[in-house]
Amino acid sequence: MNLFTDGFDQAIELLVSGNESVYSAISTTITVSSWSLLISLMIGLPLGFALGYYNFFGKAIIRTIVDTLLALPTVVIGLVAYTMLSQAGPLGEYNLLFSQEAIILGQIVLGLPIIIALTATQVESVDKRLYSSLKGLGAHSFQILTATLIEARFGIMTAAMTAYGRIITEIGISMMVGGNIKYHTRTVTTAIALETGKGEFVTGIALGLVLFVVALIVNITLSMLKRSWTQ
Amino acid sequence: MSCLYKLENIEQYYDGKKVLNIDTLSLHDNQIIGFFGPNGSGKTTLLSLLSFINKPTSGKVSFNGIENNKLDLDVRHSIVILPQNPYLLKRSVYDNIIYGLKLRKKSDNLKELVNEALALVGLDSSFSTRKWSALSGGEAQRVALAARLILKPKVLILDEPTSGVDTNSAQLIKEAILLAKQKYNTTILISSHDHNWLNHICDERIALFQGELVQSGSVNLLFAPWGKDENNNLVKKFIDGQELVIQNSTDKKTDSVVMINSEYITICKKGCDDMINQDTLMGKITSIHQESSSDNLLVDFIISGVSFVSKLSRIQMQEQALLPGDNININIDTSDVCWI
Repeated sequence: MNLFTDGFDQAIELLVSGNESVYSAISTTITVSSWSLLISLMIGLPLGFALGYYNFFGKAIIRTIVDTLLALPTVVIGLVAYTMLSQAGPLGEYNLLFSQEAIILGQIVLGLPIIIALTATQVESVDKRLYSSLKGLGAHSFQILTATLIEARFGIMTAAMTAYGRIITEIGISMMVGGNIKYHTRTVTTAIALETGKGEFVTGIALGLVLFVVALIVNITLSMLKRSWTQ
Repeated sequence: MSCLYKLENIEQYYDGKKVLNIDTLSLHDNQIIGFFGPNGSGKTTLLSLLSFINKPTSGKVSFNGIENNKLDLDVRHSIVILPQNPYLLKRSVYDNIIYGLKLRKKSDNLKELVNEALALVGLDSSFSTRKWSALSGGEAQRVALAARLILKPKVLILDEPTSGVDTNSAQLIKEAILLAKQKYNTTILISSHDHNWLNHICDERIALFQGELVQSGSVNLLFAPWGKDENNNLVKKFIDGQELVIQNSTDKKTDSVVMINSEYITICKKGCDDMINQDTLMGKITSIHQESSSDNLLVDFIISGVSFVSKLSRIQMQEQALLPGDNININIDTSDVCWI
């Protein structure tokens, strides 16, 4: 129990003292996670809409593949991303390995299936009368897409929060393609792994609490946004 | 009047089943045209083709002489449809009403236009700030109609606009439709299974049954179940015990549908001794209105809850001095009915 209370005390101390390495890890975590989520949303929302809205040959197979990708271990994604980005890989010429961009790429692969699958589910569950009403007013496909996403905004937000939760807490990708480089690619999760490996459990718990607080702030912000929309 | 729509050799299939089959149909502009028929008769499918939301499996739909695949966006935007049980966006009434204008990239005088559209459907301008969730079924239907009327469409298509609304809302919807026609010269196409409502509002009525055009004008459709009399003719048995025998129907199936032209129905209130016989039925007049295409009058009446319409000349009407609520004697000539 002392471990936790000491960890909590140290977390406060680390934050209050403005510990540079801790703030660097927090900053890196938020930066890469936010970019990953943003890009995942930009790609995933239209794809999720298409998967939920249109009926086409092979839809069931694609749906099954996307659903399966939801369970992909982050370490496997990290391994594949490492292979792609290493000098021998097809993207080796871009020298992205052990950079924040590499972590973002890997995290996009992690977040994209979540956004696509949950958006498709939301679009499928939208009242079908919406489409006939929008078409009846003269809306074309892109206008139907935007109106549908706005109508399903609460569900889409849940999808985004789920994806963000998975992205911000992952370690496999950050460790494998980020390299855990201090002040550069070290995220909160890789820092926890490092500190725990060194036997610095209290520091690890402190960083864990920091991660929890970051996730809490993000969720509270989104919940407040959701509440303001419903009112 | 000029020809607005022309449909030729239209066939529409859903899951391999033919749901619409129209050889030819012309609809003229600046009219209110009603499509009626039972559920599954193809009304909604036909309206989806007329609104160009769907394309026919085969055949040609022309609008002002231009085929459906050659219509530009402006023309398509001039045709709007209010689907059955329309969906309101999870936004305010104001945002719902201006949605169509935003699609058309119009942003001038929005508040004024919204208030005008709300007034057309009998709603106060204070409704514009209400949320979609704070509306009753009838109010939601009228807001959805206002969202179409604000576009001042050339063609307004309404699919069962009065289904699920109360009498007052149905009346307000009717008034809004008539006003739209008057103010914007809008051609209005309406589907409904409410024959009487259509009779009151439409210039032309077109009956549909099992995806086929049956007949234009004032007709009565009588559906199964049918009984059989001692001569094996089909008999419609009304709840109050009255019976209508369909002549020459011994070879017809008991799931048949009979169409009786309103001109084959004779009604009489006074001095009816000459017409009364063993087949004469008793009914009550529900409403009387003028047929828009002629000087004749259409008399809506019910026999034990079943609605009928009969056509009378003005002279016949004056002789009989008919009024809504009057009990009448009814003779229906079933020797020349149409079988569907």
